[in-house]
Amino acid sequence: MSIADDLGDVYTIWHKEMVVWLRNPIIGIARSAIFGIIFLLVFARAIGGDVSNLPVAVVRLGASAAGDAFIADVFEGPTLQMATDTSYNEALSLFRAQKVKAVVVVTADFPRGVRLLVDGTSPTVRSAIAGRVKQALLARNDAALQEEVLYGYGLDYVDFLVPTAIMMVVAFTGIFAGGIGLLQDREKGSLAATLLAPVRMESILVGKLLSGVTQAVTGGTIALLVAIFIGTGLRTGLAEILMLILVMTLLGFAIIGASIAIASSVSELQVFLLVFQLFLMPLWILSGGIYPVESQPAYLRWLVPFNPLHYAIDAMRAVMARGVILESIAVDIAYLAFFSSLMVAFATRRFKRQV
Amino acid sequence: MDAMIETKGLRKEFGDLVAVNDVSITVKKGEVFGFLGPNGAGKSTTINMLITMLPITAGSGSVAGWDVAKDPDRIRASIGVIMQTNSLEPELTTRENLEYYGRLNHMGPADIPDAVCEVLNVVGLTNKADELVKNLSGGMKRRLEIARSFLHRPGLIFMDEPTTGLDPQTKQAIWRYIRHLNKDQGLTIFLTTHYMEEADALCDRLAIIDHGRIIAEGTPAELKDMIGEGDIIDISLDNEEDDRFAAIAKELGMTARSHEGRLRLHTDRGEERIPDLMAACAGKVHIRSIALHEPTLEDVFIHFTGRSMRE
Repeated sequence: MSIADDLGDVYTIWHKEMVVWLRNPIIGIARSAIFGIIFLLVFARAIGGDVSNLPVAVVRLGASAAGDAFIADVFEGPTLQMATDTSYNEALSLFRAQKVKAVVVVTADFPRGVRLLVDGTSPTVRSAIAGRVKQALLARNDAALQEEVLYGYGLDYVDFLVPTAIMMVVAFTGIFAGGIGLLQDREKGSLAATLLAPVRMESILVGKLLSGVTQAVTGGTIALLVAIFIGTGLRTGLAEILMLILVMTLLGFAIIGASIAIASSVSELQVFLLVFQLFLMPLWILSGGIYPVESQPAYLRWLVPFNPLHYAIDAMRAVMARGVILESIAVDIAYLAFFSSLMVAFATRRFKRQV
Repeated sequence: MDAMIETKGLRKEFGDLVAVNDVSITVKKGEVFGFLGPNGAGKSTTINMLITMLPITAGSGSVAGWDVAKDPDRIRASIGVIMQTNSLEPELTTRENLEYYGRLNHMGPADIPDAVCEVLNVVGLTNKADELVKNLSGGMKRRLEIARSFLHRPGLIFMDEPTTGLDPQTKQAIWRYIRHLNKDQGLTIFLTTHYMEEADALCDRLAIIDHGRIIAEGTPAELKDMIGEGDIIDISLDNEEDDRFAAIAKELGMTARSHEGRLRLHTDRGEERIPDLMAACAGKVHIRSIALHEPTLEDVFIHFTGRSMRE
């Protein structure tokens, strides 16, 4: 064999792969285009921008012209948004329920007695709020700020990413156990034996869903144990872990339901991966998992209220930073329950007795 | 219940393609019934409709007394199936595959171990019971699928090309198991094949199917009789002397027909006619070769379709 022969073989192999690749040009082109669009238009815009429109409550324990001017100054610019101007107790309960990210308190003898109660769950959000309030205060002499981090004290970016890691593990384990597993079962024929048995389709589907969810939750729990092992400032007591498992379970049903529905609708793994990439990547980038959703521009931010991954991240982060406070995660849990039911219904509709 | 399978005007369309066209068959209890035809003739499509994996377009079918359109679950509970392609779970052991299928078929937990041992014994896989299926050879996997098909004691087994792709030795073993299931266990068997000798060796009755239609039906002997009693003599000549040979054959009371570049004669007691032919041809027509055989199902297929099944 000469080198020329070897190069000839290399060419033969290259050529055959190219012919196969070009046989389905749409998949190759679509994948590249989708990745480019998502990465440049979504990822770049969703990450690293300035946070804006952070809801903050104001409490005026006494009126003063200087205090009012200070408050007006705080809400100058796009960073902060006055959510409400209310009583101390009302503000605290909004804060507890995560409706506002911070509470600014001013007294009658402004500039003395200015307090900032802030949520430390997201380090980026916390420093943006504190920075804006300090800047407004700096313009006034003699003013001292009393900053209290009420929830998530001392959390850093690693802690911020722990729920993201759990979410990703649940999502990927779910896709492998659900949709990809189904396509592989079909490929290797083992699905046929199950479909041939005198068993209701619903039983087969629910069995597959539950096994997928079990694997996904186990995976997520292992990711959580890794976080605990490498050390985290997050709360990981029994109540928190149980609540995390509930969130993982709901997320698991959503992901596996969706992946089984899609796998039942397409015939090839390539197409399945393309469809999932199309949905999962943007939802992940826009979930607030890597960077707070408050930094996203308006044309991306409208998606947040519909994004199941956002609710999963938000719930897990709230639980681990603040403990189990039902009013702060009720909306997350409700949406996840709704969305996972929708996906399971979707899977029921698409899953057919076909070999 | 005398008829295990009965179809009337069974039809399946895929878009414009008519895969199965007006198929009416009756399979009696206790017989081995075969569907013989080339690849793409509609055999698998018919089986898939009968095992309720594919909806029928028109006509009707009943399996084990249940209607394929109305009672698919009851049918699946009463039949065993060997699919054309492997349908085992490779990551489970032989035993685990059988236990899984037993439970799916609602066998009592106490009955499963004994049933598993028995079926493994029948197909000679007892020593592979705890081997992962992915480590079994192709022939062993096929035997395991046969074991699985009668684990839950169905009255009827469907086998879609049970020996395709197997070596001759394994093929013989599979035939033995099929006969055992039919004769000793009393199971009715519906099988498809594109091997003539398989249909001939196994089937009590068979239907020949081509382009989705049944073109002939009966016992192997009846089918062979349809193309005339007796033997077949195939003759090839050295030169273009077909007409002269036909004239000689006619004098001996035989009709020569051209078939695949050769001449074919149908006759009784072929072995006695060959010397007569040789003598009559001596010095007139030069014969290159003579072959004598009894009619096969291949000949039946050629008779009805005008072409060979292997084309």
